Amino acid sequence: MASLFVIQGPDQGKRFNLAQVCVSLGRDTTNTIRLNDTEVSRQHAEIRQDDVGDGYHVVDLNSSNGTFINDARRDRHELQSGDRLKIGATLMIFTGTDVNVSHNTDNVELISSMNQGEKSRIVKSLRHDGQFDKEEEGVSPWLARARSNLQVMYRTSLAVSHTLDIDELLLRIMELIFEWVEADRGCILLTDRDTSALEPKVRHNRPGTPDEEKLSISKTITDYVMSNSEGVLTSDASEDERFDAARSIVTMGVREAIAVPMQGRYGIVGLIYIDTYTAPGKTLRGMSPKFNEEHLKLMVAIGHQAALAVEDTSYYSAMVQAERLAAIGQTIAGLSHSVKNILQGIRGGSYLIEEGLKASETDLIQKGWGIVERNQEKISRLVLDMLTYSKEREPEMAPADLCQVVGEVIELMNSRATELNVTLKWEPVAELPSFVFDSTSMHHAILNVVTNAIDACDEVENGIVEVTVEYDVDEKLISTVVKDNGKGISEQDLARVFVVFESTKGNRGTGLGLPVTQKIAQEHGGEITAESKPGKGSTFRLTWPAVLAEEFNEALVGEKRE
Amino acid sequence: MKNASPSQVLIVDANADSAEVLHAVFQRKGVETISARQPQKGIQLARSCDPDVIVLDVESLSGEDISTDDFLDSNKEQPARLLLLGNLRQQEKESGSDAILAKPYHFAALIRKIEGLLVDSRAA
Repeated sequence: MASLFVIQGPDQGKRFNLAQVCVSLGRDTTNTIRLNDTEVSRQHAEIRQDDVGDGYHVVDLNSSNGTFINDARRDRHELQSGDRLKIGATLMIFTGTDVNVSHNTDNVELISSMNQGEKSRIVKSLRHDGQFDKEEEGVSPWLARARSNLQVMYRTSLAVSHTLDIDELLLRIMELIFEWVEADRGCILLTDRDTSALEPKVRHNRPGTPDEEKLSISKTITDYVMSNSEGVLTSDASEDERFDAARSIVTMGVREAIAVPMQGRYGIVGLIYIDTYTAPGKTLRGMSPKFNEEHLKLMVAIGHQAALAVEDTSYYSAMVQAERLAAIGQTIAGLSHSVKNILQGIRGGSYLIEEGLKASETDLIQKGWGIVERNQEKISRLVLDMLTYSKEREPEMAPADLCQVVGEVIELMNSRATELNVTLKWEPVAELPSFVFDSTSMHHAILNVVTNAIDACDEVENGIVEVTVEYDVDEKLISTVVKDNGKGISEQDLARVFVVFESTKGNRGTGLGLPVTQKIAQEHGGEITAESKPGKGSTFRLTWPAVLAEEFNEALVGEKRE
Repeated sequence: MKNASPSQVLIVDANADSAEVLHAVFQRKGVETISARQPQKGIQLARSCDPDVIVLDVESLSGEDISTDDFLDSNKEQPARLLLLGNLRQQEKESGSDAILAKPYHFAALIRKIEGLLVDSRAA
């Protein structure tokens, strides 16, 4: 589905799917996409689907500040994937519906050197690292400089591609600049998204330059760079006609400075500044310039690279944040749904108790209390499931009797089965050896599966849930199998039964039971599998590696001896 | 004739506890209750049992290919009074139901609404 992803503005990180033929954008609540941006008009623009249904175009609705596509103001524009749509302070990326693009690689083949048709030979090779530094005799100074510049750009590209931490990224860039140019002080400033003010992020000094000395950056320079989107080099600022002599940067002890914009795809994200500095009272005489035009050009290129990396990192952070918010939203929605249903039950049970007390009817009180108790059990299991699902833990492995664990689950669930007219079948395996597993968590896992099986048989005639335990001696696997003849699960739903908060049980399910069971199985190095046929029933098989208690005990004795 | 037989309420709610509470309360009042957790089964019961009042929790319709209209149309000759429970969208509010009760509700209020609809149904 086509969508708009907000990469700048108050709604940054939000993704809006273009699900309708006409989607309106604006500040007003009546819009399909409501933007919390005061610079957006109430009814700002519309995105309309073409008649054929595979294209979209944006139409400005006479907005006050206009609609911009890829920085150009447009009244109407046919949208292409990757287009930047800016309205007010909100910048969005448009992603269109999938287009069938041919990536036919069938006619590509790798031929061996033995092949008759292969005539090529290697005349020169170059490693990806190091060899740029080798100096060759007879190479012109121009070529040497070009190579050096290429080396700087190459290292900058490597530096920006290795991190998603903006502070770390800026620090690396600053260090690289200082390796390459003889600056005394440097600083990278980023534009604050909310205030548009430049905020210093990284400062770097050449060794020997006192750190505690305040780095004052001329606003004359930064304003010029930011407003003109141009890098500036000044070798003697007092003579530079671009700057007001009265506010000359020379008054701050700066001899030379380079300031370049960090020009990204969507605008200027900040500024890189370096200078050479003479402490007050020291003489300038005899000092040769350290910065030249070539430095400026390369700094502009580095600024651009850094800006792209900053934008990518911000974009990635916004995506991660959006996904995190979506996950939190899903969790809250899932839990609220379960808690709401439990509260409804408690409310109903309490009402019956109240009525029973008023009328002195013990039957009504008992019925009400039964409902309250059932919902108390539900909420305690929900909390237990939440804790089990959210906590990373090691199972407490100890010898235990699996038949006893399953027997306890059956005993616990018998009343529920009887209540729903479901027959619960369980035949313990005679002479099953004792295994090593976490009996508490496995009890929890089996209980979840058996509960589901009983619920699946509700409203089914002659509902039967059969629980068995199997021990595969050859494969050294132990299984608990829960089979029911309930309503079954469709193929589509079966694929999602282990996804958290996906319940096929409607209001009765929390969507946590099976994910928790799967987690417990995995903690034991095992798995849970499901087979089902709608209308016929389901089989859940919980399998994990069998560790015999006697082997475990022998190993323990061995460890103690050592 | 509906007036000859005891009043009957159909409860369509995925939450079995709610149906159980209503069943216990109305049994004491001599009103018969039948219930369904699935809306599909609810439609079948509405057609076969011809209840006086249908209490429908709209949440139970989510993900199903059934709407409130299907319950309104379940018996064209003697339509049952329809009480919708839940936080309804405008479209559902305008669907022609006889009463609406937003969630969360108090059971005393729900029971009063059902009783009122039973009286209306019998008077019609």
